[in-house]
Amino acid sequence: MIRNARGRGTAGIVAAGLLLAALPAVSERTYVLTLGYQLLLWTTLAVSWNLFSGFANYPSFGHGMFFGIGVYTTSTMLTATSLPYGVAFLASFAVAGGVAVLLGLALFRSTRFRGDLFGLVTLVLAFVVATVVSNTSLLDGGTGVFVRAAAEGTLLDNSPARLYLTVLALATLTVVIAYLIATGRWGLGLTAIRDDEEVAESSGVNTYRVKVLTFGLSAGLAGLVGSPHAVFLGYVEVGSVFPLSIPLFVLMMAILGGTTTWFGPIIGAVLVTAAQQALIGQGQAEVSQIIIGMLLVVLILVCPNGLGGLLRRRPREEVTS
Amino acid sequence: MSLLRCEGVTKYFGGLRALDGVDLVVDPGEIVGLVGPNGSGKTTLMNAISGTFGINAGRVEFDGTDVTGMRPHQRAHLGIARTFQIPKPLPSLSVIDNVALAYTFGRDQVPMGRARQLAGDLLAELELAGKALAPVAHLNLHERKLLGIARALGLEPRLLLLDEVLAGLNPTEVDLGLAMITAVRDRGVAVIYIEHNVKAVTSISDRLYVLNRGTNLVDGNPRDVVADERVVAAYLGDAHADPA
Repeated sequence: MIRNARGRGTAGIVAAGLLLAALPAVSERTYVLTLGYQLLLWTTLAVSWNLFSGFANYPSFGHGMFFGIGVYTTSTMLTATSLPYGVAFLASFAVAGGVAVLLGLALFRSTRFRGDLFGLVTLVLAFVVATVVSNTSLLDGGTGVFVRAAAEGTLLDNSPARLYLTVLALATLTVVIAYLIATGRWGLGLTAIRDDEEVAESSGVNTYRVKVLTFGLSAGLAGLVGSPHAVFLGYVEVGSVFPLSIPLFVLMMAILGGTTTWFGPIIGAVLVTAAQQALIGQGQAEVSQIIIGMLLVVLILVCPNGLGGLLRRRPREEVTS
Repeated sequence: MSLLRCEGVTKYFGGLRALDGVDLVVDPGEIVGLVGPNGSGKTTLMNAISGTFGINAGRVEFDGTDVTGMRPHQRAHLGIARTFQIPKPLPSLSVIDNVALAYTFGRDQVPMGRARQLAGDLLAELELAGKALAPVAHLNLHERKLLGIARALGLEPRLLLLDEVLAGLNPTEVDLGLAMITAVRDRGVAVIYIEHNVKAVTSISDRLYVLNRGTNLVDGNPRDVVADERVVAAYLGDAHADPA
């Protein structure tokens, strides 16, 4: 028996993951597995974004960039080297996380880079990275990269079931990390940073270190899930890897679900992805964007703390003086 | 050896010279009152000691260590804790977690479970135990100030910086506050105490520093200091200091 509450919570999340791992045994239809893949991919992205940007309230528009860095790290390593897929997988985490750590080390030296300014810097940087990738022939060079042939015979082997299981494992890992952070000491430090960095710092929190490391972890997880996505796409090109819609959707899912809880972004990711798939299924891809955007506006007005905020036990009230 | 030694502390805000070569010494376990007219640099000195910002010249030494270039959390780990003039409870956290934060991120990095226990004990001592699990929005001003002190004490400091903790409180609460500050000192914690209420500050301080326009004016025994002509002049104008 696992006695402490966090151990039980972790076991519960892992059990849910194992349950979902039965899906390929239930249905081998590519449509079902791909829908599951999409749900888990967006869950991983939204929950990992929330680790830093939600918990510490540093909204980043760079999550799509870190995801894209992961995609291109894997596509490049699969096509340009003969290293096994596992190496490319881990490298996707390391490169995306490493870029975020360097960025954090530079930006968080000054407390000015928070709020709008932090968002703006991450947004601009995403365009810079996309331009660099597009103009570097080793990575892409503007022609796109065919990953499908290179992925043949690797661990993933272009199999929908294996792709699904890989992303499921990553989603489970990410949710467990978010859960452990939210319920532990690290989360307390991040919440203090969200509320008042000066108070956090004077209460002994090394705010610089906490921010740099959490930003790195958040970005690294986005890069990690980018790795199977390179194989999922089969053909990787800048326009579909670095569109602005990815960071915007991630932001929307997390805010919709609630950024102050570990589970909020899961709700947001599942709802938005499901709604999108349903509308696209009706042949309404453009309408879906409008409807989802309007839903978001309404929901933010109705519950500013997100859907997860409604489910939380402790009321969060504003201090009046 | 003195616990805190500030030498020639100088701080500019743009062209404004908020502190101009201020010296201050605090010995272990003493209460030092810090008074002065509005804008004399009391809170700026507090921020310079706790590390909120860097200083332009001078030196801050704590327990023999030069802390001038250190960040606030490093100074907190060495044993410098502070409160804020306007209490700043963290609104997303319960009362007990506001205090547990200091225990778990303080010098000893106590694990969370133990940190909550210690925080609960401390809140009980300060008679806030009844509100331990409440959101901070449920606290009144007096309780918020107490919470600020509790969070500072959670760092298990050797020097506590109190910025106007009694302002805005009723006379009963002021008396309770003074008794509490004395109790903190009796645990061996030195206190620097900024206060506008001169009567309150003279009653419990071992020594008094008076700042005026960012410089040292007078310091020493509280009774002598408040009677000093220069102090009266700074507060009330020259006419009152020199009736002749």
